[in-house]
Amino acid sequence: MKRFLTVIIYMYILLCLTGCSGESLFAGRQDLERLLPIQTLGIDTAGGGVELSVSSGIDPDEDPPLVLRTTASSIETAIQRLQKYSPRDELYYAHVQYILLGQEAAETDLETILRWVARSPDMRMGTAMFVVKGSAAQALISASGGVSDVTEQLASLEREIRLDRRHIYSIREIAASLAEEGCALCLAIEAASSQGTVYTDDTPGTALLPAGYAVFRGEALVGYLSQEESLGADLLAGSIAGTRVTVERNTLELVGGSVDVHGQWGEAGDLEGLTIQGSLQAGILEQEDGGETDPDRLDQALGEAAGQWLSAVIARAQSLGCDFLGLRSAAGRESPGGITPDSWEDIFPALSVTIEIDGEVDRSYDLAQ
Amino acid sequence: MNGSTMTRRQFAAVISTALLSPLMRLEPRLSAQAAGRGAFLSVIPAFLVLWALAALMGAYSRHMRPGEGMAGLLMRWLGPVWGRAVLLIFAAWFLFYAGFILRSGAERLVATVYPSSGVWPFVIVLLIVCVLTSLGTLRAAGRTAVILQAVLLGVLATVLLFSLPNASLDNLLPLTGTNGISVLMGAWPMVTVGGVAACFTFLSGYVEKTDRPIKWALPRLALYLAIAGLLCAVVTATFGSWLTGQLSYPFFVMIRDISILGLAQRIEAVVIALWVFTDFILCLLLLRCAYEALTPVFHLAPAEGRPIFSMRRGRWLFLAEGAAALLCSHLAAPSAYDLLLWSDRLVPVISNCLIYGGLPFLWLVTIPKRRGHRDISKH
Repeated sequence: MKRFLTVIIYMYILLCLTGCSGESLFAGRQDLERLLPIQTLGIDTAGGGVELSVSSGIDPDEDPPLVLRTTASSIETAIQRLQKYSPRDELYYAHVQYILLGQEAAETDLETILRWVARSPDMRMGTAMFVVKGSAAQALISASGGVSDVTEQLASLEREIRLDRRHIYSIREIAASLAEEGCALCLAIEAASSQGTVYTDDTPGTALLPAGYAVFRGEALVGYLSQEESLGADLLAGSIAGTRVTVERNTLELVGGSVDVHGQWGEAGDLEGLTIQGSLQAGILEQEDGGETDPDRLDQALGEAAGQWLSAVIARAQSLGCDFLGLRSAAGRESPGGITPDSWEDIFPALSVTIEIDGEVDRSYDLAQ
Repeated sequence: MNGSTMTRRQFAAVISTALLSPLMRLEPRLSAQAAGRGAFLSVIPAFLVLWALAALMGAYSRHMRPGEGMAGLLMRWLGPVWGRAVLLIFAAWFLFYAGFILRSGAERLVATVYPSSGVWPFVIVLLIVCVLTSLGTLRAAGRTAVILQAVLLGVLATVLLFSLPNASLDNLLPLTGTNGISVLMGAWPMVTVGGVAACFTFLSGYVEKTDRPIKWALPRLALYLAIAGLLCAVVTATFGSWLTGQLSYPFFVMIRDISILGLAQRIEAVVIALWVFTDFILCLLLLRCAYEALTPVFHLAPAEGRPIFSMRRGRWLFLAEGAAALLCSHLAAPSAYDLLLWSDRLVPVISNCLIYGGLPFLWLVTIPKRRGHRDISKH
């Protein structure tokens, strides 16, 4: 009898814990059949509040994606409001893959958004984030027409970036970089102009194109890197392969490159400057009439171009007073005492930088000359 | 070895499973706050402190008679008045700590997976299971812990392995010379959690004796510190030290981003649910330790060897302990903010005062008593 009683007690406890009993302990239970996973979120500011846009992505039944947009005083209030627009399905945010951050929101509300993601039991800190030049809602909605939706486009963009061995920054990396270095990089995108519009039989869908890097400092967007500066940032990160550039009327494909950052240490052990040395390899894809054909001069021109990219991006970092390139960390490895963030803040803006990059154009593919 | 005695292997499994509960509550958050990116190096100073504690507890255990635990030893050495006073203090601490563990375990579930739920259903269900199990034999708990230890360490290793793609060495290196003092400070939570193991000497009467307690303890200590160090290293490499220090449960937040070969994602609910077993084992041990401390005080019989629902020979005390733990879990922290304060400051301070202050103090004040015994035995 006692054993039977014990089994009954344990069974009841287990039943309550699983949420299968009539009176479940877990109030937030969700039915799997009704869940509609949201895959892309767009966040903008709207009159002191938030404009939230969401896209569910195309499901396996080829149903068109559900795209919703609303404004509210906060993100969670907007999520609650969006649910009212979708009475049949329960919007489910645990599998959000991409967050698009509108330019205005990036300038003013980044801290709020990062804190929301960190606090939310649904969201993941590893979610990829893009800054949209303009409105995130407009980009999300315009990219959701036609044959593909915004999530597919971003997934395609992500594949392309990863194939090029470049990096997509997650919310975790941005938050960590802001905390450690006071600034961070994030990939920027923009909705294509008429040149990039994808026309289909139904509605036109606008392509989303990469647009360099956005720079955050002190939890606010302070600007974007130009194309030249972005190349410098990629080269410093060692992720420049696959990029195409034009040098001396030759279109080159960069196939690899790496740089090392060394500190120039004074006798007293203080940092007097930085030396950046490295190499960049490329192959000729296309040659215009009158383009440079001498291999040595082409090597030299490529090295000089790479030096300019690096100079440009380092000058930008120094002018903004923030080390989004991780130079302190790289140079600090050589110092037994390291470089503290406070001392780096003082010396970095005026630090002299010597750049020595060797260009190597060592391939012209099937055409020998 | 009789039928109710735990093997040393089971005792080690019980301790290591129980310590995973406070370890995840305090680490790597507090070590990252104190030591920054050098948090994983804090295992070195922590090892020295915990080794000294292991040596002390080994010295205590050498004086224990067969079937005797810490409670019996202290009663012999301190006498009926001081012995009872000291045991009452330890029993009160065990019950309070058990209540706190119930509350913090429930809070972890609510904060990470079940935001719409209250904490009390979790507290009460876990308490009922702990009280029912404490009425059984410790050997059964030991057998359970052997299985749980394997499962939990397997899960922990899997999580840490699949978190590596998200980790960056830039968040761990370079370590500057100024990290030295902070690394020492970062050892505090590791020492606090490891010190809890000393409480379980109250159960030594139910564990098979060993002639070399320190030799037995050292590999277990190394395993504990390896887990603590790896945890600090991987989580800090993933989030950076500042963010690690800001998140309430960085380890469980890290699990959200894990993808197991593209086949499974969002496995944090499963892992967090598994961690309830660590609360269960720790709470169970604390209830049994409290019973062992109160046994000489109230002249009760040993808890083992009776039918599970028998309330005779003082076994009603387990129900009273359950009620006391429930009361303590209510008093411990009225809100989640209070709980964080209790978790980070008050509970570690009280625990360390008793373990690193109280136990060495008792060892010192009982030196004359031990010398007296030795002199008598020489004559």
